[in-house]
Amino acid sequence: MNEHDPRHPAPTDLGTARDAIDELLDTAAAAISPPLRWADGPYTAVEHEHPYTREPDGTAHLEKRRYLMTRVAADRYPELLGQLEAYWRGRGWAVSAEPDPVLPVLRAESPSGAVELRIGIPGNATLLARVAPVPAVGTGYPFGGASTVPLGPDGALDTVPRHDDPYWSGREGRRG
Amino acid sequence: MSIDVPTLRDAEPDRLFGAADAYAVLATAVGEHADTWRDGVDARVRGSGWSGDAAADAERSLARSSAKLVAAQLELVRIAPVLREGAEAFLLAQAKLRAALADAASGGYRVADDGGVSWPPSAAERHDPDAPDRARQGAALRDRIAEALTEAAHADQVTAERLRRHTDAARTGAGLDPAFAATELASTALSSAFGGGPEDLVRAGLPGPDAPPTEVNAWWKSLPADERQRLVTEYPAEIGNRDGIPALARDRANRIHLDRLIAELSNRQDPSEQDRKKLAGFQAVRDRLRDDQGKQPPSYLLVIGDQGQGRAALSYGDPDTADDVVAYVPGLNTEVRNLGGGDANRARDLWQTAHDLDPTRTTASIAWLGYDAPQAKEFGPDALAVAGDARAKQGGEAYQGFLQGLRAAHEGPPAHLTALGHSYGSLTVGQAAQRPGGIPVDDVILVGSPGTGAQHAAQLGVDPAHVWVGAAEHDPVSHLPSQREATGAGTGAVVGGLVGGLPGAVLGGFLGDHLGRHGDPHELWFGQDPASAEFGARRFDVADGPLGFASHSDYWNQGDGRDGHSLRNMGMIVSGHGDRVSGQERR
Repeated sequence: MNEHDPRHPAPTDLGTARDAIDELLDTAAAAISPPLRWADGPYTAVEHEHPYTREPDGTAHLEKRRYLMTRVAADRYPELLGQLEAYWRGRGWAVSAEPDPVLPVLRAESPSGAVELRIGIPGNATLLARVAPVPAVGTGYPFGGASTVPLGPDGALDTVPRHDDPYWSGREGRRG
Repeated sequence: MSIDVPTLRDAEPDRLFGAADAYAVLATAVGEHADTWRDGVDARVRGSGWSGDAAADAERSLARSSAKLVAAQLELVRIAPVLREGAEAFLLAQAKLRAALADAASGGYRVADDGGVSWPPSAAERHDPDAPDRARQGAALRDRIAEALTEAAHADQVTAERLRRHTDAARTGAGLDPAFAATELASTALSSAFGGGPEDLVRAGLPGPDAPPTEVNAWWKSLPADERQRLVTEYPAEIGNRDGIPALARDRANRIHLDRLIAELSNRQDPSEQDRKKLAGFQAVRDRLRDDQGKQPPSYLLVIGDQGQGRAALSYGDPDTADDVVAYVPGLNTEVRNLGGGDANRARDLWQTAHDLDPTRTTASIAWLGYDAPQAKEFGPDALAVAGDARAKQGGEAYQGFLQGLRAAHEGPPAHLTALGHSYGSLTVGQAAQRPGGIPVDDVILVGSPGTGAQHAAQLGVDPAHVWVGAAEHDPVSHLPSQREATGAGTGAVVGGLVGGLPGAVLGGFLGDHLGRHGDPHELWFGQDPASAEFGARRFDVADGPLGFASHSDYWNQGDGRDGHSLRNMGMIVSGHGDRVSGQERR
């Protein structure tokens, strides 16, 4: 990266990065009670390039999404976010929140990488963990494309929550 | 010869298919007779043990007869495809004519046998506000009918000419000459493989280079499925890059074309530096497509070509069926290899962001490099000054056509379509938007922009409330050269500081020269600063970024806090939720 850009420390090797991502996602999901249902996307690598010359700089970031498949009622989201925040703060990580009252994003910086929960417009939510930098290895899918995300009738990712939970989904969810 | 309306309307080209089938049957029968003759007479005589001069003469004569039979069969084999292709082209012209006649009838227009179009004059024609529309529609109908008649006449003429060659060959006996038959057969094979030789009647129906993508799309849809498939494999460069052809067909054609381009450049003797760059670029695109194979979202190759520095466009998601479509134009220092790398990542990241924000909507996110982006690896004011706006103007024309093609090929309700330009690419978007007819988009996003050539967002042809600007405060390109920064902090000092390391005096001199011609404090090199209040667009929140050039590419960052705002805001706009964008005060 650019010599004036202080944001890029030495790369973490890919295997270590993958383990860190799994740990960040698994512990976040496990911190929520009662448990929710999730579906995992693949590990994706995004290569970095020089911001002006556009030459690759040999590094990338590795990330993975874990999509929430349980319907969570709007009035349950504060509790969901509260549980996560308490867990992340309990580990001593810096936690920040997007100041968007309707579509919150909650983030934590761990020593090994970043993890966040972002809420989408129809009430979906995505856990995302990211480690940067890692070495660029010439593929966007260094661990293959394996995914547990359901596909819709058009063959595209369908990550709209579909499962009801007596606690999280609320009356609206149970009725649907 | 010319064909009139009733002749084409009532013709029964279906009969030609019957004739083609009959010729095919005949060819098979002759082939069987030839086999019988060869096995039953020729071979028996040869194997009879008869010898001597007379026997040798007889053998030669029998062999000539065998060869003539084979030649005759080859001639007959070639007639069926000629008839079929002629019938196909004639049917297409007839379908066009019938569609135009139906439209004429429902609109109250009269069509004469020679194709002339008239309509009953309105009692108060001069005061009828619809009169000019009637005249325009009438003229359009006349053109459509004339085109159908011309195509039919052409198909008729070409088919007749081809059949004449066969009848000539039959009359003169050339058709019985094995050498002649072999040459003819070879020329057919060559013409289908390389597009040379005899004209391909169906391909000849492809609307001309100036035809709008809607017409291209209508033509494509009128073709039978096997004809479309044949054109994809036989003319991949033409079909793959033609705006208005559906994305799936473009993708299939372009992948074939991509392999050919790589093979051709790999085999080139003494390749130039440009050739090597293009080859590396095409290989990067092919690697990317392979990497994406079987993954979500799928990638589609919408453009590939070796014009100029090379052309490529990649889409994540099918733009013909997606609810939301965004077409991003990259800028400074972008080459084809970036389309297989950083720009593919940007397109995919934006797809992912839009998907995470609203998975109930389907998205197609495109990176489009249909022009020669300026190359200037050393940054300086000259990078943009030397580039000028010529590349953006040329690119703008191509981009306009590409967007019109996306509209024309879209199925179902129209997509929510967003144009996105970064860096010099935002100038390209701006130039496209200011062309006659503008660009058929719902939203425009400009990031890291050196200007669009416009003074006000309204000049981009969309409601200024749907023109969005992302400008990192520390992005030097978005500041270059702005008088306020220059005069407010000493000439060139601010921009010089932003660039980090460039002598302020160099920039200062440049700024001084440039600013001498302008009085407006927010006048950029290419018109008004899109982030300024005067420009009138909506500025969305973007992190200031670090000093230096890192901030010129920060618009796709997924970092924490404000660092991720740009991508999130673009995702909101792309997914049709611009009302939820977080704003930033304009300059």
